[in-house]
Amino acid sequence: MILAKQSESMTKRVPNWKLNNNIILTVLLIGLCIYFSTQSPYFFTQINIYNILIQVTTIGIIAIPMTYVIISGAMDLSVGSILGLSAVTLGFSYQSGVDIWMSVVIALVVAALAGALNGLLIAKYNMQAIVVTIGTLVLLRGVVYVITEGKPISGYPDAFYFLGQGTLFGLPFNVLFTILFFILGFIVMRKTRIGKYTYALGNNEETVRYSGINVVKVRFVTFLMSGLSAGMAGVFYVSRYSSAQANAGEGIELDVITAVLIGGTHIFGGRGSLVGTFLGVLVIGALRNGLNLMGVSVLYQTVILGVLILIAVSRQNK
Amino acid sequence: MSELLKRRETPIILFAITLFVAFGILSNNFFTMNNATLILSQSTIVGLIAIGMLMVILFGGIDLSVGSVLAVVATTVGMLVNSGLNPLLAALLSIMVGALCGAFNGFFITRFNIPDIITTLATMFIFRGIAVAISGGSWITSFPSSFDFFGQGEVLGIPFPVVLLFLGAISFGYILRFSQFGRRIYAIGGNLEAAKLSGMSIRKTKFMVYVYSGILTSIGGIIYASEVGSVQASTAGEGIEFTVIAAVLIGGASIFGGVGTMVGTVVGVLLMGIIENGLVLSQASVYWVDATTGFILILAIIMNTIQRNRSLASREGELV
Repeated sequence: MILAKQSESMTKRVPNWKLNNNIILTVLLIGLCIYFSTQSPYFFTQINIYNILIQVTTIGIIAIPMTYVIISGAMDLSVGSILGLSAVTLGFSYQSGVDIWMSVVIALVVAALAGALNGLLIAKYNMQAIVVTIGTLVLLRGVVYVITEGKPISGYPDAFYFLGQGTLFGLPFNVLFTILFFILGFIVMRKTRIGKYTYALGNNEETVRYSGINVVKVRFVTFLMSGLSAGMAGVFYVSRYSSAQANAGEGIELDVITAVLIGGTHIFGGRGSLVGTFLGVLVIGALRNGLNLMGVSVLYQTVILGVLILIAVSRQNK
Repeated sequence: MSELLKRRETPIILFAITLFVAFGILSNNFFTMNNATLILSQSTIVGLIAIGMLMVILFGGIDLSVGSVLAVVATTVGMLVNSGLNPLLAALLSIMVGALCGAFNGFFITRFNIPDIITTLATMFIFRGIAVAISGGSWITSFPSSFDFFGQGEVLGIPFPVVLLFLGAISFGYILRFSQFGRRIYAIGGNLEAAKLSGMSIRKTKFMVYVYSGILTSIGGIIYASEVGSVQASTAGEGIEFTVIAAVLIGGASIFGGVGTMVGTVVGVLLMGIIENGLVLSQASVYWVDATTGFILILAIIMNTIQRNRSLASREGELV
């Protein structure tokens, strides 16, 4: 009864707020595009638009489960390191003679295991998500450097490059994949129980537990998916850059979390949407690309992302 | 004796001693007076920052921006002494800059109610950018020799940074244990609602803790600049926040707030120093140091949770 009431008030409140935020984001996106086109004639060409779309696939793939994780009232800071782990595992197993597609599977399994470790500690043993994922962030990045000794692993068969560089129906394959993944994530969030439970978990975990829902399972699945998606992003990363580097995905958690938060997902959980995240990812992509074209250093770009986070979150609490 | 075994810090002190012996067996150079001094002086920067981090963690927060604050301060102090300013004055000015960084964190956290982790994640990148902007992207180096004292000087035969760490640990240990301000930090971390209801100003206390954290980090930054002798704004202090957090947590502070002591933190800092030093002396790859820091973090949170569950279980049935 309480839950029903709550979800009713939830659905009542959310659309209003979300609509506003999505409109703001769309306006922001258009504004950014117009501004950057005036700064660089190259910005609004078809090649560059494709470039942006390809560049944001990495953030996009990870941002989907991250939206779930943040809506459920947690946070996953380890995604960048899991991306690196997956990339390096792929390179390492291929180098030691394993078939390339088998290596991809191994990389994905390893990434999923890393996500499962997070999920186990956080969901099963009730540990604080932030500290656990900071721990795995540092631990896994260390492991990645230990495995590779800092050296990149390159040289893969041509067929493998299709994932990150090939096209299907005129669209880059990884962009198509990301869009399908977004649609899948959207349907799961809207139409399935696990989606509803995710929102409920962020609103009131106790109530959810007393309603007989397996809280541990839901939370575990969100972290498992987060790890697996970071792993997929790692595979695409290697395919796109033709090499697995130890620093792959370093600091990407900032981009992902910024995209999710400016997308209107509430930092304390319970509210948010994948449509917002999708727009947020595009805004980050356009911003990064435009600033690159203008020759702004990567370090200053992260400053802008930091400011965006602060603005987005302080708006939420009013 | 049983009292001693029950203390939160006991397992970690035993662990540190075991590790100490193990490294001593593994490497011939470990058990020398020189090496002991080396561990101590290598730990001073982490130690000073850890004092601030302990206070932040005690009230239930976390500060990821310390590495970038260190970079801002190290850059500032380097630029100031190179422009011919008196080193002491330059140090004081840059401590103010660090305090300002802390105040910025504190302002956003208390005024806009943004979670500590998000604010400091954002400022970690913002401050790093500011540091690079101040430095103009180039290395800052060749400081005047009068600046060497902060990192390399000695007082009564003890390295000056170690003296600073000692003074910092003692004074803040005293503040935490005996002053009103210190007890408030514990109260807020232990039970926020109770602290609010008893009329404490949560905002003011949190804000001040972040300012103190900024100041302590600045002292670390000045020592860094003087000790290393050159500053690169884009990498100075990068990742130090993880070592510091690991040190504080393994030293028995609880991530849930309200639990932790200065003694534990100091032991935690020394433990991290011993591990790093021991790994280097046993000629393990430098990359193992990062992996170990991550492992220690996970270990600390597991211990934390076990201890918390135990204390919750023992309190079951009590009226709170």
